[in-house]
Amino acid sequence: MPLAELQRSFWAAVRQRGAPPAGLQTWLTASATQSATERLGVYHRAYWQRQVTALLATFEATSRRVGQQHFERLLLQYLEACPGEEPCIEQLGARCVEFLATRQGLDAEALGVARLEWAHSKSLLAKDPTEVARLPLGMGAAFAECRLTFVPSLHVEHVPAASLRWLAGDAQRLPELMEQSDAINVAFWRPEHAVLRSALATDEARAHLLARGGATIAVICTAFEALPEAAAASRALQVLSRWFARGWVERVET
Amino acid sequence: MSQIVRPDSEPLRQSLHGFGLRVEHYDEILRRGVRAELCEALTENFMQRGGRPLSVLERVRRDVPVTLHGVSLSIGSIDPLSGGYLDELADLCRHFEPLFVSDHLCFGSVDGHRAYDLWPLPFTEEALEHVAARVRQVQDRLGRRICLENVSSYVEFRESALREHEFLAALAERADCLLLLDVNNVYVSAQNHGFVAADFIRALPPARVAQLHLAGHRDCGAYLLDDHGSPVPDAVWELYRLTRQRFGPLPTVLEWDENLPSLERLEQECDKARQMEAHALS
Repeated sequence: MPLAELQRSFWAAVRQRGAPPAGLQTWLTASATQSATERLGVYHRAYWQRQVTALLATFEATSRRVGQQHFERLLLQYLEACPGEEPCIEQLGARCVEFLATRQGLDAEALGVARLEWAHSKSLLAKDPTEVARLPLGMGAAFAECRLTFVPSLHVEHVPAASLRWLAGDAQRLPELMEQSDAINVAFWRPEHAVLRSALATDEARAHLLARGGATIAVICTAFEALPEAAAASRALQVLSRWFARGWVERVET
Repeated sequence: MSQIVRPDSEPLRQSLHGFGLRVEHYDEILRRGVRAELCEALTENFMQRGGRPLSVLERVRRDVPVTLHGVSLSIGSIDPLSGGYLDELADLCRHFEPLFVSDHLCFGSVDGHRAYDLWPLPFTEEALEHVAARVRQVQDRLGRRICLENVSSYVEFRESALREHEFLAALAERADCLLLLDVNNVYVSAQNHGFVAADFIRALPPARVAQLHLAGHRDCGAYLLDDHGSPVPDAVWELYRLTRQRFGPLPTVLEWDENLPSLERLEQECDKARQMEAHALS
């Protein structure tokens, strides 16, 4: 059997769920203690177990929310449909949220928990920024024409507020703004080694989205135009200052 | 940085003992460093990411040499070698100047999809030529030799015309690469496939064996499983003694990934390997 055919056969045999494939003994040998099928079974079990374990570690809260037994079944379906393509197993969950959204029986809150957990993972695994920008002083009116590039670890997710309540585990610790809305924007970022999380007000989330889209500072500030003029300016300065203070901005491009 | 940096044109005949870096030990390592003569970094844990892993490796590298040991090169796969992966690996090499760069003689991807496992190759002329060509390609890209490790295996292919040690020896010559001899994997495979582990050790060319691995395994009744989840068992220590007598002083890494012990316990196991080596070479 040519090498390519053998490797594809091995892949198919390991991934076959249910009854083991027939005819393994034509290209695999038995040992003194195991049949060809039993020997391949070692790889078959390892394949599924290792990846489900990795995904359970990534989506621990989602598993609790959905129920581990049911969630493991979903993960097996995910792995069947979306075999990993990245060398690092921690990236295995990259398409999981998208896949879970297609499954029946998962409500928006559970999906939101998964989305938050994946955002946390992405933030943890992100590359370090090449630099962290400081709020530029003395640029004057020119600052309004600048664009911002965010650090690789910054991710913002829009989820049901109940999803963050579930993830946080203690409603009394949550910020006030969470009690006021059904949906919420949550930012994850990693200034040094640990991932931090913060809920964003709607206007800040809108400002972030504009900035991501390449808008200038002037356009970003339109996110606050619902406020009276002086308050809007104050709010814009507060938000932008906090972005720089948190180390969210990698570069200010003029 | 620690000063043991040398071109890997030939095996480093020096007795260095160390262990693999694991996330659970990062805090302690950052606090007090490591008590070992080298450390092994799992390459993929330091690729495409920042944060604490890189800080820990930088901290370790200040004190001791490191080796980069990968699991995703998939040197035996029919898939094209990943240019992105090799670029990342080259970057890590430039940054950390590892003593060795290694991966496994196996395949781990098919048609772009990853197995996240080390699947064995058939020991055929086709596979030998295929792998040798890819090893030469990787070594050209990195500008250095790589070490390939013998995996523990649970199947054998009817196609195989060579024995594993013959395949390894021929590959090392044909690709001009080095070998990372995993003593536990030899033992596990020998038990699973019914060959004599000592014969395997004796058949490998000393000039090509550059480093050693030690680990524990689990007895599953009908087969042994290389799970890196226990201390090195007596039978593997005995094989290690034979290995030392044949190959002399070489860098040795203890692998212990499951049921992870304390950092201190790992360091004690390294001490045992050091004592075993001294006894074997006396």
